[in-house]
Amino acid sequence: MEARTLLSFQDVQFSYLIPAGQATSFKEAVHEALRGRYFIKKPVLKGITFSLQQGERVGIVGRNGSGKTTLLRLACGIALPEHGLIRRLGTLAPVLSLGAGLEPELSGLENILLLYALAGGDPKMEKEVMHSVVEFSELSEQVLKMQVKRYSSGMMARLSFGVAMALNPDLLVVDEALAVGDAGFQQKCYAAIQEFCSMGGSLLLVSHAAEEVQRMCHRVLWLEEGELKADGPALAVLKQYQNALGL
Amino acid sequence: MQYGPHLIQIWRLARKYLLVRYKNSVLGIFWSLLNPLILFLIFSFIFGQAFPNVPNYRLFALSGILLWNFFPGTTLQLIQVWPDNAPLLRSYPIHPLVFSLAALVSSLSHFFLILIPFTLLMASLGWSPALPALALLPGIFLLALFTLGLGLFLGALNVFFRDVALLWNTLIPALFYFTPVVYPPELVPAHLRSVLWFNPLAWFILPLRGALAEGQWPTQDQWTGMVVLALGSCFAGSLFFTRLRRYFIAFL
Repeated sequence: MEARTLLSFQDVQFSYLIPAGQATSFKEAVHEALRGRYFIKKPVLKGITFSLQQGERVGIVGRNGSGKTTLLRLACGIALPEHGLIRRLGTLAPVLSLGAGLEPELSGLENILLLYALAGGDPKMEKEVMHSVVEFSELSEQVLKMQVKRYSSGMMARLSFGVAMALNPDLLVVDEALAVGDAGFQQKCYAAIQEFCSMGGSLLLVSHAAEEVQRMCHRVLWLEEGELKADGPALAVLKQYQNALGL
Repeated sequence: MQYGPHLIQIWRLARKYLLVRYKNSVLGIFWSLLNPLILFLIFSFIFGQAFPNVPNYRLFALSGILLWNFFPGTTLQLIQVWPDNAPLLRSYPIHPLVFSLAALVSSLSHFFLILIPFTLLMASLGWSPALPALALLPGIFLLALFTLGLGLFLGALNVFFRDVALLWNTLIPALFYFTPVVYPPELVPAHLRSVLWFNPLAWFILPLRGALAEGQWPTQDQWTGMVVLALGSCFAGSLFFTRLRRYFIAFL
C-alpha cells in the first residue's frame, strides 16, 4: 500500500498581530490607531516546509516560544497561514487541551455528545462514540450522569481524550495536554496512542519530555525561533537539540 | 464543503445555551420575562396617560418592548461570543461563525418562547390575534439577520478592543430612547422626524408592531426596507469578519 501524505506544509508563514504597546495614554493610542500603527506583526513561523506520511510518528521539540503550539494549531486548521499552503487528508483529531469545551453545567454524557460535535465528528456515529468514550474513560454510570463541574480535572481529561480517540482519526495531534490526570491515566493515554500508532495511525506530538518523544516518535522536528532547524530521525535530532540546550 | 457537521455543532451549542442559561436559578425562564415586564410597568404607570393620540397605550408599549427586547440581548451575546469561547477556538478547528449562529438560534428560540406568556398579557390588555401578526415570523427573521451582521462587525472589533462590549452596553439605553419603542414617531417634531429613519431599528420596530398590535400588514416599502437592511448588514458584517478572522487567535 502506498503511504498517503496526511499533512503537508509548504513554505508556511504565520504572524501574530500584537498591540505596538508604545502608547501610554489614550490620546497617544488614538493617534497610533489613526496612523495605522496600533498593531505590529510579530512573525511566529517562517518558511516551514515538511510533510507527514500515513503511519509516521513525528515529535516536535523546541524552546518555549519557538512556535510549537502555533504549528499544531495551523496543522489542525485552528489558525490560518499568512503565506504558504497547508494540505490535510483524512480525519484529524486535535488533543491540544484536555477539558476545553466541556460545559460544567451539563452531565458527562451530554458533554460527550457536545464535544464530539465540536470536534467535527460524524453525527451518524454518535451511539458508537458514546459507547467507546464511556468504556475508555472508565467512569461509572453514576459519575457520567453528574454535572461536569463536580468532576476533577483528571476526570474531565478522560472524557476529552476519549472523544478524541473515538473520532477514529488518521492523524492524532497532541500538545503536552496529557500533563493533567493521574499517572495511571497518563499511562493509559500513552498506551492508547501507542496502540493507535501500531494500528497504522499517525501522530504529531509536542512535548518537552525528551524520553517521551523518543519513545513515541521515530522522527523529530526541531523548531528554533519560528524556523525549522532540523528534521530527521528522532535520536539524532534530539541529541542535537539537547546539545544546543547545553544538557 | 460539508455543512452537516457545522449544523450539528450549531444545534448542540444552541441547545447548550438554552439549557444552561437558567440552570441554577430558582425562577428560571421567568427572569427573562421580568426585565421587559418591569420596563412595561414603568411606562404604563408613568406615561399611561401621556399619549392621548395612542388609543391603547399599554398595548402599544408592551408590544414595542417585546419586539425591542430581542435586540440588546442578542447583540451583546454576539459581541462576546468569541472571547467567551476562547478556549474552544484555541483548541478545536471550529469555524467562529458556528458560535455566532448558535447564539442567534438560541436567542430566536428564546424570543418565541417568551412570546407565549406575552401574548396572554397582551390579550388581557384588549389585544385579539389577527392574521397580520403572522408578519412577525419573516419580520423577526429579518431583524435577526440584521442583528447578526451588526454582531459580526462589533464582535470582530471586540476581539481586538474589549472596549466595544462595554461601550455597546452603555449605548443600548440611548438607542432604546432613540427608537420609537414606547412613543409614537409623531411625538418627534416634524422637522426632526426624518432623523428617526437614520436609525435602522425604527425600520423594524414600527412595521412589526403595526403587524403585531394593530393588525396592519407591513407595506411593500416597509418590507423592502427590512430586507435591504438585513442583507446589507449581513453582507458588511461578514465581509468585515472575514477580513479580520485570521488575526483572532492571538487575541483570544
